[in-house]
Amino acid sequence: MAETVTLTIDDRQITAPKEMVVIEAARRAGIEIPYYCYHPYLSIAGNCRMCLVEIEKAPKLQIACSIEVTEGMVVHTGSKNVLDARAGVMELLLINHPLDCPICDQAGECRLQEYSLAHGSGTSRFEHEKHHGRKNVDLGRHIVFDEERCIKCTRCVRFCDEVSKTGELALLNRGDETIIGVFPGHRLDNAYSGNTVDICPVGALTLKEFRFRSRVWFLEQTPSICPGCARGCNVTVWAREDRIYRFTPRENPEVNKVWMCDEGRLSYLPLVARERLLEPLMDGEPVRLQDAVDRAANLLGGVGERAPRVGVVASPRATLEDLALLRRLCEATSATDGIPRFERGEDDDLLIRKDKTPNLAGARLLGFERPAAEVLREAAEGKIDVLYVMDEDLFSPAADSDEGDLARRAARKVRALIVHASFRDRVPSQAAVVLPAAVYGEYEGTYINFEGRAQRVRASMRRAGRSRTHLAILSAVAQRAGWGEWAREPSDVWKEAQALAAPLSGIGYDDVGTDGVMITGKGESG
Amino acid sequence: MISEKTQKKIESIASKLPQRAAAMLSALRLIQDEIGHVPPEEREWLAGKLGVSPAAVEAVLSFYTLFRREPEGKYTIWVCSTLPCALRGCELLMDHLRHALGIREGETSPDRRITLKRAECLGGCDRAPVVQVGEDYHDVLLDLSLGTAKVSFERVEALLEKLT
Repeated sequence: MAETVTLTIDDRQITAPKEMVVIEAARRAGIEIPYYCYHPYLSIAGNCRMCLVEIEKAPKLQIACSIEVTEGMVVHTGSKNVLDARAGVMELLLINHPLDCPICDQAGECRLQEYSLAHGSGTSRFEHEKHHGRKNVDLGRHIVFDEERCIKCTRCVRFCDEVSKTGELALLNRGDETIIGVFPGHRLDNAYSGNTVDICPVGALTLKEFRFRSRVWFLEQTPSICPGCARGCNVTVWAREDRIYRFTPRENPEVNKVWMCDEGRLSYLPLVARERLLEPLMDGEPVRLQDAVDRAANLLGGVGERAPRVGVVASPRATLEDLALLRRLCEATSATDGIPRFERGEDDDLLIRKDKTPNLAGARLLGFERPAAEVLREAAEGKIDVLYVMDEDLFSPAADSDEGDLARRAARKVRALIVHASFRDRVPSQAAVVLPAAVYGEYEGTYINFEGRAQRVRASMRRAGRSRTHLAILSAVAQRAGWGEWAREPSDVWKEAQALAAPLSGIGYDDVGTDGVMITGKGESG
Repeated sequence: MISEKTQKKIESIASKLPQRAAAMLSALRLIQDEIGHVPPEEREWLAGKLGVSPAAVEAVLSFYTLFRREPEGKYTIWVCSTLPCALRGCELLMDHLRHALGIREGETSPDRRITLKRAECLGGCDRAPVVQVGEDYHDVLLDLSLGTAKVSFERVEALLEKLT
């Protein structure tokens, strides 16, 4: 335990670790001190002056973001001097601010707007022409910059220097001509550039993929997990009317701090862009769900010597619960099973993992270890009658391994191919049965990241068309095949997963919570 | 690119300092002294040399008004515009220079000979309105003999003729 000191903030006794800054000690005690430039995961700049507080025995107001707590310190955050100072800071910040909130994308989540209401005067005494800057500056692949909205807090500059370590941004020029800018000919293009938008306290930096798509107050926020790679960054999913509009990172000091990569941030885009499979198919023709399930059950069923040789290809993008039921299906059909890898690029030393799936560790925990290629090769060689594939992207022409090729060969060779598919574009024409599966955002469950942390992914949309969750599809097939009544609620299936994977024992479904929980049996092995 | 001699000089300054980046201002001056301004290639070279991002060099370079990011004319005429010079008619002088050179403030003559700039106090108030070219002051460009300020064509022409 770190050494602590006791201080008084607004007549309240507060204990805080030594070397903590006053603003943080106050925040943890529930006392809000307004700020723009301070950020708990960046260095202290102390330039916005919004967090000025009165400290007894200090000759003048001090900025709470850079002054450390000391024993016996007495702080006032609401004295007349402090309120006057805040109003003064607000007045100065707004002198050259365009006040274009009605056309500004930040409206609704803008500190300038919020603090103007709380600490500003409501009117301006400034009678002269404002200093105008360029608007709509194309700063990078994902970033648009509005010069005149910027309050020069330098959070974005510090992010690029300290977190992404790419150093693209700097404060250029001087005085009222100061702007954030890049070196001539350079751009703000790094793998984490979207974070500058999140930390920009005003509407100066906006994300091309989100700007003007929706007012933030129309969007519903759901805490979830990014499906883009094995890191499992904690995110907030912003959705409206069954459509995801953006991901923003959600704080989890153990996983992603408060950051996420651009690729993960935009990983919802294919969900919007790709054409969904909205109904079951049999031999390429739309059918009733019940008929498709019956056919799948019949193909897998069979008895005695007529029992088909079944091969199952699991998906590291499915949840732990989905995979627990798939494991049961493997057991019921004595199937041979495998799991594909979706890898690209390299791990970096911040967040990005080359494994582009969120739950490979979960799959391994449930025994899906063999490379899919082995199962597919057996199928292509005629050693498998019925191939059951959980993720149509296995057939993707983009798959860089030879898995995609093997999968297409296997599809042509086997007697029957059954596929869970969410999108139309990659479903192989040979499939006997295609079952429409819910996509990310439509289901709830658990992912286990590469470090062995179980985290909860949550639904923020209704399922599209007649699609069903993997859980619903698998339990329906099981029922028709006569394997009994399988649970189909994630919390119930969790118990089945516990029976299959010892490391989960003692951890309840709800224990996973919002911050996740470490599973002792680590899933990763290369 | 700057000469090997200047490169070595910059290296020797940087290597003596606790932080190499602290050599920034001296290095920018040396580059400008040699080339006349600090071109983008030299900024990037310097960033690598000092272990900072090119944007960090740009930040310093753009902060100081005496550093030049663009090439200027062979000579730069600074016209002082602070109070004593303003009272003694620096605007008349500026007008006259603009017309004589056919350029606006901050611009360079088409023959790349002269750049015209406005300065804050040059410290030559005793001979206001004062003009600085290179390291030299030039004064009494106004004829004040009749009690009203009037640009002395002869003196301005004489000055411009010297700047070849």
